[in-house]
Amino acid sequence: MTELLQMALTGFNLGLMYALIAIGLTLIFGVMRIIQYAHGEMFMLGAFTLYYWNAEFGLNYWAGVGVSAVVIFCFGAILQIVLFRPLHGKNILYSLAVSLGLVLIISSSGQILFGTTVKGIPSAVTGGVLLGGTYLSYERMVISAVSAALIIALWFFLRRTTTGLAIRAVAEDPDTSALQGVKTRRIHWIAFGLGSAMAAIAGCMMGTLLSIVPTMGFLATIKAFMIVIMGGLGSVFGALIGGLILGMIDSVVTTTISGDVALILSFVVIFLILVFRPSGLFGQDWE
Amino acid sequence: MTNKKSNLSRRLTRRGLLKQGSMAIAGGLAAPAILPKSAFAQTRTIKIGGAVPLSGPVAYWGQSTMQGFVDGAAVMNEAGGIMIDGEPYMLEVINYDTKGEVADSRAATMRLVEQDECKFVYSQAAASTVGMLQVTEPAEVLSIVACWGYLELFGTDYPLHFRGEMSDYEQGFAYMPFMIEKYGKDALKSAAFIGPDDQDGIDCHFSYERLMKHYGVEQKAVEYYNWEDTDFYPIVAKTIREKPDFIVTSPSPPGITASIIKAAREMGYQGPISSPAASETETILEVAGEHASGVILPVTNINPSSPTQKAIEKRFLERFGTFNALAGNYSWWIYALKAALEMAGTATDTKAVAEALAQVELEDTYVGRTKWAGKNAYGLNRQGVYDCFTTTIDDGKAELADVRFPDLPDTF
Repeated sequence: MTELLQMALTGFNLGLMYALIAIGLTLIFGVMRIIQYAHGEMFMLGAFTLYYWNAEFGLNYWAGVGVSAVVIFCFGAILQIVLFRPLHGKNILYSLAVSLGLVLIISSSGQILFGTTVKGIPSAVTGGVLLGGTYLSYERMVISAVSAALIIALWFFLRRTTTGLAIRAVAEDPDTSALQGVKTRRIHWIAFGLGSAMAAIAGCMMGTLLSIVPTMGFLATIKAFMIVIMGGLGSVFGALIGGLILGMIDSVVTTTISGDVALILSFVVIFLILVFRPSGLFGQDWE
Repeated sequence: MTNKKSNLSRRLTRRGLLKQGSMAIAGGLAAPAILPKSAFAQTRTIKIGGAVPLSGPVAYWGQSTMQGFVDGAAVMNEAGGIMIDGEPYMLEVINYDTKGEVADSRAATMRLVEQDECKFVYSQAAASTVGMLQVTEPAEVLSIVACWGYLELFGTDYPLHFRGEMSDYEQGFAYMPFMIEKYGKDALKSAAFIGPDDQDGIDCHFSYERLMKHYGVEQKAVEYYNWEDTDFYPIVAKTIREKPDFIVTSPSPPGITASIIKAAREMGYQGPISSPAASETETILEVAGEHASGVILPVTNINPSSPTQKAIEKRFLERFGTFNALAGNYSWWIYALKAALEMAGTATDTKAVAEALAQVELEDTYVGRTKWAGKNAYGLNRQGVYDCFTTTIDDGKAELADVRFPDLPDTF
């Protein structure tokens, strides 16, 4: 029972962080219909921004998370305006090529700028408590709470604000939205920046919990894609559920059987979902 | 004034020039018979090639290895080169990036061997070593690498292949006696292994098994993680469920080791955690934070103190702007090669140089005393063995705790 609870807590924590990365990716796809392969690089840059802010310059951790989100939001918005806007409406392969190029450029530049040594962001919260044999790390609890709060905040933003409504409208039907007066160009860079900022915050959280290295983005992108395909392209709720499923598989199966089986099972679940629901658990059928 | 003018005129006359030129030519032709040979020998160059990961996930190791060769060659060249059979040779170090990939390493090594005509090459980490060996042995090129796994690519079938870095097996004969002294034999009756799920991890587990058997330690758990794993809580939970007295994380890099330490300590595990590959205390302290305690890091010298160590540290800082424990550890390879070249008296016969290299013992390197051993374990003396500097981390503080030459058994 204790082990099961430990596994569930670990899986929940992992799942929320995975969801945070994947929600950014699905938001970008939903609004712009582009596959942003460099999403993991935003995750990496977010983590390194916090690292320099907090570990190198000794500035406040939580302010650093905010700074990281703002910096990467701006960076994402600039990338959208400069690189992706000219490709809007053109063959998806063009934007795919650009985002793949960005992966190489950002990852290689990261290695030159940040070095290749693994780094760690000091924990903002330490300690924990043993409850009936199950260890509850305060750091993991805080990170889970922050991740959950951000996901809820994003949900409210998309549902309850004018800009959120515009984002959803553009995601639903860009042409009709434009006819209704929605400035789609503005929505594009906001969505791209917002998605990138979500990845940056996830990078801060996971970077604190684990470690950071300039090549960390690749795996984050893979996980995010697995989750987005599972939950459905463009669906924020689907990304949350997909993240939790993947987190639970990673935790429970790795603990009870092995990491290899967990990896295999993750893909088996994705295949099964695609067979029975080709658009993912909560996705819509994109033309 | 007159004399001066007269001297000047004499120097500038055509006849005088012709006369002096004739004398110079005559003297030049006669010189080899009169003066020592070395005074006229054209300085030759020995090219040493590096097919090393200079970018990618293992670039840190590759750059550290490269720095050892670049620095060593510069030091030797500044001292007039190395003398082989009475003739001076300068050293030229050429490096190509393998990105830590087998195919790139193979291509880089082919370029070094065929285009640059290197007879001596070096590499770092398993993938680059595998790629390099596809080229070097058939081409009779001598290689020195740091690689712990792929033991089938080491030994009698690869007589020109040297492994300069002690693997977890050799290190074990230093860190196990140290741990027994530190914690007591009764506190180290059982162990668990956590390593990557690849050939390196499997081979290191094989070495770990032999080591634990040698010291009579029961093996309680063996866990492999995927490089794709992001959180080590599940695998550590599974490991500590078996209640091992200590954990060995081999050959896990510092970041992963730190994550394992952090997870284990958070879940209440209190036994020592030894990591033969994670020679980077700063990363462990940063990542594991308050949980960095009871950590044993063999071949990690955080306190260079001998004149040789301090000189190497100073030179590396001046030349590369950085210095780390690993770069120091690899710095002795080129000095061993120099000794072998001088001993063999040839810069071209790699078989002779290999035989000489196997005999080389150095007394005062960054890692103290060095020699090549492993005849009984691998079939040939091609494994570098040296003083093992062990650093411990307790309560978030790293300190150099032990220096000893591995207590190698007769079977090694």
